Amino acid sequence: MRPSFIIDDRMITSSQLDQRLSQYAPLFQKHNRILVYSDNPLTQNICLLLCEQVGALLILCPSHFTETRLVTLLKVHQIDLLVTDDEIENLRFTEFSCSREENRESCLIMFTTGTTGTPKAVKHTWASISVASTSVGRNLQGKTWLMSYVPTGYAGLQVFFSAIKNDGTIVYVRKSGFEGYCRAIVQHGVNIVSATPTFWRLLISGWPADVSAPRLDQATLGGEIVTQDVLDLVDHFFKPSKLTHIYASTEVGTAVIVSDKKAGFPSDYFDQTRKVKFRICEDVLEVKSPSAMAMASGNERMKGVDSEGWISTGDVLEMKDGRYFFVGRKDGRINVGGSKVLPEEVEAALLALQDIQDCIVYEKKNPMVGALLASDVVVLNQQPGMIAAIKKALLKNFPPYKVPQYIRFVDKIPVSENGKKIRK
Amino acid sequence: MSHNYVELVKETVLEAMEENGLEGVVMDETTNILQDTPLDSLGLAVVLVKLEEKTNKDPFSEGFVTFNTIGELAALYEA
Repeated sequence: MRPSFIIDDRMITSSQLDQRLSQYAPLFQKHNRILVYSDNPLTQNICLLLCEQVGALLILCPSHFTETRLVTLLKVHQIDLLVTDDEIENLRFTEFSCSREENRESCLIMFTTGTTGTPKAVKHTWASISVASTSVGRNLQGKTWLMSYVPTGYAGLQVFFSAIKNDGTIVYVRKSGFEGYCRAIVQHGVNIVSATPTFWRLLISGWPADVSAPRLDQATLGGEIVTQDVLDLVDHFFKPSKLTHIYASTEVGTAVIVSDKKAGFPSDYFDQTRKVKFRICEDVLEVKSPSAMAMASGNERMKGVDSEGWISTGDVLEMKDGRYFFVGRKDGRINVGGSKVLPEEVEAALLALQDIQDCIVYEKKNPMVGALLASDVVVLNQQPGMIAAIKKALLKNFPPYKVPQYIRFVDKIPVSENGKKIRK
Repeated sequence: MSHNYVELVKETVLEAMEENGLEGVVMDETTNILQDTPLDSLGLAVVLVKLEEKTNKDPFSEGFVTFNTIGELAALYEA
């Protein structure tokens, strides 16, 4: 029997899952507004599947939220069923009331991972959150997927629904460290991996020399800017049958999917007949999509949505040779002596240099000049004269203000649990 | 004044020059950093970042303090 989930090497077969779903279904039927508070993917998944099935409202409360915050959520959303679990994975239920309402709201409320601020609540319909699962190809049925993201975040839920609705298995690695991911990929025969460029870089650079990399059916990159060098790296290392990079966010849903192994996306994506519509306003991408619109109506406090449903993404685009490239975040621009610098653009240039494995560019306050452009870099072999060489190499393509004045060697760059670089 | 801090500042100024592809110069306590070395104000700003990392001290935390020479800068960290 094919497992549905493999959580730290423990298998949950599809019949075990079905058994638990039918055990709890009658209880979920009786409730309207359900909140799950657990860090166990099995508990979360059972709630997701049952709430979608019975058409209830589900709040996926991140397990790092404090109890005070939990209590606030319970009150504000008039939760009538709280789901938690114990150490041996039994679900625990607290019922606040149980009378099924007519016309109850059927949706998912989740929280952004908060890489660009504090986590905020975002509402999705069950159809909008699981829409990506309908475009999984026939050749990708019954495959094994790696969960590289926070399972309850937008990207994690894309992987969840895509896998579960296409008879797939999802492999969860909850111990920290890339060795665990590497071992799980090989041991459980993972076929499909979707992850951030930072995750891919770290996975590949930490891959043990004596373990040969498996050939993947599908490799997907998203969540951060995807540059050509990381696409090439993944392509050469895992030789995926299909290599895709996507642009998506909790707010706008999945907006751009590119599979031609080239960074950026072709300008004809701006064709207005597509379901997802784009426009550029002062270099910033604005998106209007069915899934975004469904959410915009339900999120009164959502910023950057106009009356026609256009959402400002805050992501800055640049046109080069008929393709659009993401160059950074509008609100992440660093002011260097009056000139605006996008840290992501400088990071991409640094990563394209030989010897540089990872880096982050940030602003360093300084008593002399207000702010300096600074960068921490991870290199394979530290050598004298390297910093001068790095600066010289950047000056070939950049004006001087885009070259970090201060460069420091570090052992590693901190990464969030969702696989993105942590910006200071 | 302690010899060590002067040496530390000289060494750090040389480092910053080298990182910017500039030729080193001979310095002592009385060397005026911006006038007598090829380092510009951005380069000097980097020197301050490096010195803060090396000494764990930030003499500018309360605002900018003026200095011109290697000796004057060293004195700020020694304090």
